[in-house]
Amino acid sequence: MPYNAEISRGKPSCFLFLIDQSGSMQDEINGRTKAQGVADAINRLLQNLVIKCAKSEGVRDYYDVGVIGYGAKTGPAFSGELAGRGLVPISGIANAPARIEQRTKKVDDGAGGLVDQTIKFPIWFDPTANGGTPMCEALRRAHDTLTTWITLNGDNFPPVVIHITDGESTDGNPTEAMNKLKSLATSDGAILLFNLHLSNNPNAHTILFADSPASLPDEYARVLWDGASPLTPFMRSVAQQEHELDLSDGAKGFVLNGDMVSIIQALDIGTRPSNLR
Amino acid sequence: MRVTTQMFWLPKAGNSVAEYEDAFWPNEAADTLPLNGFCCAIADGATETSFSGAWANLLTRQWCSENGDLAQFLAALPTLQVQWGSEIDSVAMPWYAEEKARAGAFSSLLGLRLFDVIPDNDWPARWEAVAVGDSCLFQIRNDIAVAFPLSRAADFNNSPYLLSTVSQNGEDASEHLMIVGGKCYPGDVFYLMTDALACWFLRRHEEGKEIIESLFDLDGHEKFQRVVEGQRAGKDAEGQPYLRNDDVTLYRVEIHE
Repeated sequence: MPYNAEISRGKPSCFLFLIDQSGSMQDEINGRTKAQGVADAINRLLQNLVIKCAKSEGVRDYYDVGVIGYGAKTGPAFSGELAGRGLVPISGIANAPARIEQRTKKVDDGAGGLVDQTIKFPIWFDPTANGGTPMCEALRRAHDTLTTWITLNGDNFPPVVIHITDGESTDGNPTEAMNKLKSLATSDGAILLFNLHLSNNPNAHTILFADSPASLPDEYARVLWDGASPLTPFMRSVAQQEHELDLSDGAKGFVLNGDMVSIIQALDIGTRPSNLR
Repeated sequence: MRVTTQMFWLPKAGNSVAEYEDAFWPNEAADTLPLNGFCCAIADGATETSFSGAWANLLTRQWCSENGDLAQFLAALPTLQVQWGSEIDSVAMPWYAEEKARAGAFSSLLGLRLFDVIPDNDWPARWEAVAVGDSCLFQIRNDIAVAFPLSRAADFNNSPYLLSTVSQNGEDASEHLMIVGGKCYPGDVFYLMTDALACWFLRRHEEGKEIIESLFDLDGHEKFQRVVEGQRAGKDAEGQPYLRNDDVTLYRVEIHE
């Protein structure tokens, strides 16, 4: 399976985010709840994706994008106008944020200094942390959603699923559901599954794109590592060229206890399947 | 001595002509122009930025209006950046287009200029080329005499340094300019190509294909389109197209007595 299909408006690819919204996502990481940190990372990623697909004449539909949340309930997790919708073309995401906030960021002033710049920060996804962790149900929901997508887009670059969780499924071992999800494939390759694990285990140190399970702290991390797909060669080259991560051929789409910077880094690598043409 | 010029171009398959983001200048073929002082340029606006075709256009025209004088061209860059900003400011944009435009546009540039030299010299003319990025020049005399700035298909990657509409950490664009020059004779042909076409040309040449002959045979847009579409459709042993689907530009300059 080559993972080299061209991604274009005629042959879009797909990103599906599976977001743990269980009560334990209320725990703090870097001074914010995990739920808030994940929501910021997803909103920022969606913004970057939209901007990447924007051209002078509008947004090109290179991707269909969906967010499935799981916690007290499992299902599509967009806020605002997109609430209840599964996969949405990226132009639909661009034109329907729930709201646009103003935030400040430091930017290069072109002369070696930094200046504050007010930027628009669109919000599509709000933090939620409530209930159990029905991971198997969420993976099954992803399977159903992507089965339909693949039927319609069987020769396209396969979907990338990015799953963010604190790791302890409450509806059974998710291994089978992950394997079933990864068994879906287009003619260009099987679905790529990333597992980003925000562990509660005090012995869990940061591990980025591990190629072996040797230093994983517990069974929860091991299950998520086992379930993650190997990175494609292009993703590894993005990791090396843009994030200075020297990864082996066996590196998997698995991050343990990354801070928000490494979560954002992983999202960037995971959403760069190949060059847009 | 005189030159004849021809130019061939196509947008990437699936895109409209309006979405072509390469640029070239002068944009009209010429039968016989004086060689001395001849100047031309091509540029490749980066796909991942917006309004990059407009930026590529500004760069090629400026290069030629400065007659390929590098110092004057570099001095004019800040004014060109402002001009690009004014052009896009006149367009009403949604939030994402504003953010995208704020990040600026990027483009390669490849410029060529030709000069007569003093009479009775054993070589009648010389050429100079300047490149930023991965658009390439080939000087053909039977075979490839010069390939610049890249000379192997394996040298192409996806992140060359490009000229930008925004200053980057006070970076000096001149540090990324590559300059080369040499002699030229009647019968020599220069090809200027944007990256996808240049990479294909080098690769097919490395494979021993009679690729130079196929370019000599080009006599019009229809034939160029047939070659490009055929090479985009053809697949190598790894299933990759011979010619990557991208905007393509070919600028041909032939030297005559």
